[in-house]
Amino acid sequence: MTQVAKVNDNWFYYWKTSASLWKEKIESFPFNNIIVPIFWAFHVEKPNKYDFGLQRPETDLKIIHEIGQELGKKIIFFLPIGPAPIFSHGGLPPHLIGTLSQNPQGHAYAVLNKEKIYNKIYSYFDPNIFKEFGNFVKVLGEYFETEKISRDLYGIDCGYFNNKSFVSFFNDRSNCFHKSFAKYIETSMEEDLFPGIKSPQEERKEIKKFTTFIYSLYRKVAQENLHQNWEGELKVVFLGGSTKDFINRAITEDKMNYFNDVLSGINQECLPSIALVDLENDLSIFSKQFNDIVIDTYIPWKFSSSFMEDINYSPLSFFKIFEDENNNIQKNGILSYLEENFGNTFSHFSFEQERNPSFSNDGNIYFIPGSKIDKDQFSKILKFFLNGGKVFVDCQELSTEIKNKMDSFLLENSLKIDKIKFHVNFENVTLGEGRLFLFKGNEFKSIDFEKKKEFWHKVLANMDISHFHLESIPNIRFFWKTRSASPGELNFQEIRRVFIYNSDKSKKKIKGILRKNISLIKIEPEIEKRYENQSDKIEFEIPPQSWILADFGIWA
Amino acid sequence: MGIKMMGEKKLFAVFSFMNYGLEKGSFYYLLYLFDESGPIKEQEISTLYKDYDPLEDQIGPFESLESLTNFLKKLAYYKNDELVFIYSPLEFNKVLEEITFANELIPTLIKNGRPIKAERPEKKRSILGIFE
Repeated sequence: MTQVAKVNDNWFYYWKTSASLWKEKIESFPFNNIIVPIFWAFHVEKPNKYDFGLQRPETDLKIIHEIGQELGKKIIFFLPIGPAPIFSHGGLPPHLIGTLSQNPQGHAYAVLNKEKIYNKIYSYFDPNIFKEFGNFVKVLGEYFETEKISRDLYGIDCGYFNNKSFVSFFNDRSNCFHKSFAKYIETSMEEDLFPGIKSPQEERKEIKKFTTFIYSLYRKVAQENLHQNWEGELKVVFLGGSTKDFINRAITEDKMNYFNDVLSGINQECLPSIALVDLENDLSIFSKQFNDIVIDTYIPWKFSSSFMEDINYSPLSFFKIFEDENNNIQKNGILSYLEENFGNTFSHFSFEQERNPSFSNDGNIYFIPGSKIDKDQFSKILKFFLNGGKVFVDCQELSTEIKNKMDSFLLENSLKIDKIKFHVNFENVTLGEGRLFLFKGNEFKSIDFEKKKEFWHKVLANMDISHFHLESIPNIRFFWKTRSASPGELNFQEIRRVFIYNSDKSKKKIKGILRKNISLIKIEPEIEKRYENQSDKIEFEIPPQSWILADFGIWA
Repeated sequence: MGIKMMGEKKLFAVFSFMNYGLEKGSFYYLLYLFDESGPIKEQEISTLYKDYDPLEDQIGPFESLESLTNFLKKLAYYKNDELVFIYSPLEFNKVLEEITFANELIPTLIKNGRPIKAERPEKKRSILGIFE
């Protein structure tokens, strides 16, 4: 077994360490980016009276800022917008503790911290909590300004993954929530803004809308008061933070099988955190995976503020997949296909107001649900396509207006349209490099998983994706990242690195296929590799519980 | 309680109730299924529940609490567990309110639960046939 470095995700819990030891502690962090979560309750002296160093030096965030400057470490403040499972009571000051918050299934959130103590999460839907949070961020903002703390600050939405979907701890179904929700519905009806709820589906929709609205109030008050430091909002996914994990961790030892959650986090642009799980003495392959993916790649990429910084690699992505509330695109089998055949080289988002597709010219292929295409999105899609972009549109829930517009566009421009049936019907519209791929998601319902895979294999084979394909075998996982070539690597336009992890107890052989414009540059550690008959196939042998990395150059 | 519990193998289950409206109906789902050594293995569940999809993260739908309970009794029988403890969201929340440390979970579940005896299926049928 190759030696595994200890993992440390560089979160600094200042309230757990005496201020006299802060410098020593910060100096000991192995990486440059240090995340400092701000613990609201720790700064509360009494209701609406806060301490930032006047009473206790451990509350003086300015000292952390100064130590960071002195040591050349990048301090990044995280301000939780809502409950954070790393704090007792989710971060709420004790005088505000009220109702236990409940997840969408009606169970109280259950989270164990590293010490296996149950951190209870309380509802944020009490108007008093909002009022006091507003007071806290006001004082915090004034403190940052007065003390000239110039470090970046992110508002964080804390959550966990349930079946690859991010669930925010802000979501609540407790009595406290329902009381606020009932008032909101009552007021909306009084003002004739809303006719009332007629079905459970409508109720779920309104609950989501209300939750988003209340969350936006918290975010807004934080952003306004900390505008000088505010760098944006970030979802943080706490590994081991679901109720299922709680039960497993309460009964058994921590099992470090969070690799899928780490990858799902990266795919959905959420920061995975190991703040809840004890990896102090963990030498399993998961520690190596977490270091490679989160510490060495995602954090430097996400928090680099300048191109002059020594960054480098970003997660490799060929596909940007946007979902509506019903996850219709996922049901078509595309994600499973990409996980198996493209080593997770995709991004996967909910189609939200803040995350509308950018249709940037980064070579990604876009998947868009028809239900979310309005006039504005439609014109963006066409512009992207006309500029050589590739877009898949699920026309299942396309509105009649947009459908008519689409038909007119295709007709008026005399575009080349291939109408094909291969397990399902689809239309492939071509214009130069541009591809507009139209299909109906509901047709996938009647075909089995193997046929879905065949379908995506055939369709994506025509998309000219330059990639080193590795075969999918059990217990072998991949992580791909990419960077531009440096001046010393002028033969290439891009360098890609793949980590191949073998979590099996026996050695594994894995084959990959080189494309014409891809060259293998190096493999670490040196292992036996075999080219098959001078062909483009390479076979690697990976020892048990170990990994290799391979660098590839992509020719212009 | 009339049922001795010390040393007997126990199965724990937490369910949830989902209302999809008049047309689609209301159903029960099993969200967490575990015993004193950890979560129940997927193979053990899928042997008895032919529609079980491990990717779905829940087992169901069950039309009634009775059918959910019957499933659990039979699962416990095939796992050689003697007792089943079933918790509604409200009951599970009460347990969570009481505990502070991880090792208090199982004793608090037992203290607050109503044990049901595992049950041998009435007719001898193939395992796969039980829920068909």
